[in-house]
Amino acid sequence: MKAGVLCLVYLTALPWTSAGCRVPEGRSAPGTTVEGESTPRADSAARAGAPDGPSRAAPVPARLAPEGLQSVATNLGTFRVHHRSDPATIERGKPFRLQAWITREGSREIVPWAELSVDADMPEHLHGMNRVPKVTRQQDGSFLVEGMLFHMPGRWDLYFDVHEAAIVERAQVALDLW
Amino acid sequence: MLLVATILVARAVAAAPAPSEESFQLDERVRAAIARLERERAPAPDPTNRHELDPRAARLGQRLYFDAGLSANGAVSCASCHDPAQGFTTRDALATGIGATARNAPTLLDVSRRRWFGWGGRNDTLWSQAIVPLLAPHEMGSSAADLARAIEANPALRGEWRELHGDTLAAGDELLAQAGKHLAAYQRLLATGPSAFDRLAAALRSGDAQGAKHYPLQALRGAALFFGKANCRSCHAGPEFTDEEFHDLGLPPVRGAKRDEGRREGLRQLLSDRFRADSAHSDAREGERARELAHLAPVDEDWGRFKTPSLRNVTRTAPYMHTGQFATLRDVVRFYSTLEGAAARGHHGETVLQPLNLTEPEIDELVAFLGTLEGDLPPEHLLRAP
Amino acid sequence: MLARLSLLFTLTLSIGVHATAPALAAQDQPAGMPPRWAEFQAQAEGLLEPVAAAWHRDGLLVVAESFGSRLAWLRPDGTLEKRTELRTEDGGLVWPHGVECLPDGSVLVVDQARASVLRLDPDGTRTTLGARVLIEPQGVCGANGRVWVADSGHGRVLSFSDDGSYPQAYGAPGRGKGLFVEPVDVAVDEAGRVWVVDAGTPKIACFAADGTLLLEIEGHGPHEGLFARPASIEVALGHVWVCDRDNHRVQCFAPTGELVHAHGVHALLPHEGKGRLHYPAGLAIAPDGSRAALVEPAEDRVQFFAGNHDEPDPLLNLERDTAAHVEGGIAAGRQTLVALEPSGPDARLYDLRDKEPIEITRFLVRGAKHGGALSPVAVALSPDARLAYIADPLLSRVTAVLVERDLGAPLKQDPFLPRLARLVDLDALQTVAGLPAAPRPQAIAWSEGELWVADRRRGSAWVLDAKLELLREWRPEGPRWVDPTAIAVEGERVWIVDRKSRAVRVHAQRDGALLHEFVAKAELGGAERLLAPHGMAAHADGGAWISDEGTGRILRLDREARVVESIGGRGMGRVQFEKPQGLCSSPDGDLWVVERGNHRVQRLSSAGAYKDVFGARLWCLPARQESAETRVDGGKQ
Repeated sequence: MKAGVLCLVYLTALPWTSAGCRVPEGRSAPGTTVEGESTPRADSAARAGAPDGPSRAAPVPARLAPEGLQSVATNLGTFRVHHRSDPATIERGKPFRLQAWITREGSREIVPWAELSVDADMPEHLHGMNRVPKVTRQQDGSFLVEGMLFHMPGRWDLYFDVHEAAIVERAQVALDLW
Repeated sequence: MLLVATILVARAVAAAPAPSEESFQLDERVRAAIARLERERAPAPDPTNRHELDPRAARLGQRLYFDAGLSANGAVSCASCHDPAQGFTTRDALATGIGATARNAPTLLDVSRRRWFGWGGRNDTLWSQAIVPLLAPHEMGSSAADLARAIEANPALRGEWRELHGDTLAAGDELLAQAGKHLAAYQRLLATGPSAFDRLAAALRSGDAQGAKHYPLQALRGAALFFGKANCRSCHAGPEFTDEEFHDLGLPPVRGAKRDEGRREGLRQLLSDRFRADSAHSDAREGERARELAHLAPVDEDWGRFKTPSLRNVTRTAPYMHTGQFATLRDVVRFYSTLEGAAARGHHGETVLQPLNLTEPEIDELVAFLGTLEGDLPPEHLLRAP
Repeated sequence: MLARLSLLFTLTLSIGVHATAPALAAQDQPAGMPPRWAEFQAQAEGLLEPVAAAWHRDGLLVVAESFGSRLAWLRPDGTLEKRTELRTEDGGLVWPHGVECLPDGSVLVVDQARASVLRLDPDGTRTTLGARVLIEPQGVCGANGRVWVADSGHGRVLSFSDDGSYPQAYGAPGRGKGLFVEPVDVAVDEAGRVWVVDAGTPKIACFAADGTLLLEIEGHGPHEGLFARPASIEVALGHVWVCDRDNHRVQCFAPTGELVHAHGVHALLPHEGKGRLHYPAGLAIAPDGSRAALVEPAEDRVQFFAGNHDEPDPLLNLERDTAAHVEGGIAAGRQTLVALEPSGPDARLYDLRDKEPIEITRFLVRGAKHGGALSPVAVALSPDARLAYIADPLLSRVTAVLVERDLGAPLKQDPFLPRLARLVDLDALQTVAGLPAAPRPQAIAWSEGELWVADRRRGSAWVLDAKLELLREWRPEGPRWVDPTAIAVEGERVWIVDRKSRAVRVHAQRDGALLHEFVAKAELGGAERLLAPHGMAAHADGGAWISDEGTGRILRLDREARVVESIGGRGMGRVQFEKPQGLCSSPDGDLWVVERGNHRVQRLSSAGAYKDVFGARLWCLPARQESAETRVDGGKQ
């Protein structure tokens, strides 16, 4: 067998309601609104590029993220990022690519106006990658992320940052690399 | 796959005093870490150099390598600073060609396996790096025109060149690129053989307890440190014992040394290099190396970062660090242990290195471990002019 | 009538500098090697936050004392000759920053409270220049009959003639060639080239007189040739000198941009001085080139040096780690505390279950990346301590970091604890698009499900929800905010500390109407003396505690912004404060005080009694218990 020089333990980020993080009493369950928050505005002036509701032209069939992918919710539970890597197993020191789809949490329907940026850190080392990944939107509504490289062994946090106008919300995945 | 413990002596039942020689055991994680490290049989080919695997090109490169006539003063060849008799480097702290340079000469043993070339990663291919010392005024001080003259003046050289490239001798950058590719083809052959460490790793992988016993105990303790509490493998990672990237150790400043920006300058030079992997002289302008250039951007943190050298054959390449400021491996390990004299990086910067506070025996053990990374030198006929 | 200005008083010893061509040719390189200002001669202490200095033609050094609203005239031996109080016509206080002496004996002083430049003529006449065209002026210099001001609010340098007319701009706001994030000082050389130092990028830039960008030297870091919050720039002896503040050194460049040398030994002991530097922010080289003065605001000190040519020992600056430089804001929950180190930058999270706060994690790496920061100056915690909100004026950003943890679990340090939840780029809000100046959020407070963010540039507050979505912009009535360093919302009232106006104001939340105001005046003394208000914490009775960096006291104001009492005073002991900045009240009523000058955070009871301290304990002498002497009731001296 090809003795894996470097192998990957691919951990999805624990959703914040997992064991170890008690939901504070009186709060609603994760993924729904934070207490006191008004319902998201579809026509917010602060959300440049968001589609207007009623004035939209002929409805376009919604696109869906593929099934069976790894996915992770953003840290405040608004979105979910579905993703896969190429090669399928990320190895230390070897360049890799990612493909990602952004949906709302609880839905597989792609959010058409959201943008994505990707980055990674090693929190224990206080540094990130020595590469600048490039994210390009694909025809199928997904995002292709190129130029990734994890050069050191240890725990990497991979970030999928979802942009909606002036706001960015992060989803993250922890990986342990040899 | 089951991994059998390497050195096992049935432990006495009573409470354990200070561990005796015989009862030392590798931690499970360390055993697994070592077993993982299987070297690639050969370095991956470099498609940007179409002559890389051609024996004729390698022979031509070997001629160039030992030819002092290429240099401006006729006295400096590649072998002057990368001496086969001295581990393909020299005992000088700072390499001296025609004049003094500012850095220690890296070894060329296994150089084909590297991702970036030069302490600052100034080149992304071996052949483009070979051109740099050829032209550098303090190193060989040559030029494309000087190279052409030297080729024309040497019938053997001219003949072999004609055989590979045709009757008309190229000029300018094209000629330099050809020379670099020949040199790279030769350097690819400077491969070292398996080391005692490789035999240990293979034994662990195959469950060969007998085979593993040949590995010296002191070095085994050193391995436990290297992959354990000393955590050297954090940067000296993988079977090549380097993450092929760049770090700032905060080395003690050397009096009188010029400022060396390291990766920050190296990356700037790489991005403006006319021989880079996506340039007209590359034979794989759209290959993987070329594409990676689009993802490199100079950042301020690169200042003072230097390439993590491979630790294979490190016993052959004293003195150490990009300044050559540590004469022995003990000095290097002692620096990591105490961080004495480490340069202040400003207390607003991060410090990733922490002093290891090793004991003297532990320092010896780490040095012993490093000694087991030595492999056989390339065949004798590659160590001199053809 | 102003005599023609020239720069000879700064370039007397220049050798071989060609004054004609603006191009930076090799012949601009002077033959002589400029000295290092390393030979300590004298120091002057006890100044009130000196920020800049300039040599006067009569041989004295004029120092701007920003907290003191005055100029100090120092002799080269460090002794004080006299002071000039700076007042407006109506007796208001000035916030002096940059200072320049002109050959005719007049003095230019930047007034940051009024965004203008004061010119003080030798006969006592005072003129105001640049009002209404400057936003946040910083450094100033005079050359060729013109006045040059680093107009950091506009991201540019503005020059105008000595009567304030014919303005000319260099640079523009932003990142990139010829653009500035925070230009803080300017100098003009004999060839008419304009040198600008930008603390935000950081970089130095050189323009020809006609505005062409000639060169830039850019980069953040501790290595020579890089900068960390450079604070001032000067041209003298044919070279360019930069006070590299957060690297505690001075760097000297040739006009070609080549680094000549860097020097400066960082202080190890508190208030050490005597040649060792701590955040040098201003440099003034004497006209005859014989000496230089270095201004250290954090130490209330000016040091005088002669030049020498000794090679410094590279092993002298070996300290690797240091006590935290806590500054800015602070936020406390029931069991959680977040303190900031803007110069790191760093944010630190502490657990409060034990008597002493235990640090369990840090977050905010330097940079513009998501989750990074350049100048985190204010923080607020959601009531459940689940989210920490950080305001960063240089990035125009509010960042929400998830810091929730199991409050009952055993304590451990965890680098993976903080996770970026959301951030909002206020500069990208549609309501802001197209406006010339980016928002500068620098104070933040949580109130009943809303996050209030005071914006220094717009003079208003952004009201966001817990997920940083914009709810509305809230505009106060009354005088325009100059430097809002603290905001608090209590029921129907909005409190604001406007530092450089030395004012604390209470507005009605509903319509922004100004209800009450406390403004420091020159004649106010005793407990009502307010030199540099910074932080604010709500008090249970509806009033507020206000920290005063200048007097080292904390005042308590009642609901109508009248001074009720003041506690503390300068010192290192208990209930003594050195440059107190951020304040906050924890749910149990305790008052937390960030002391920039003592590198520590002090914890007091709601009545102002000492409880605890953490940070640089080494230097905290519990010299005496809090006593009657440290409390001054309102109205008494």
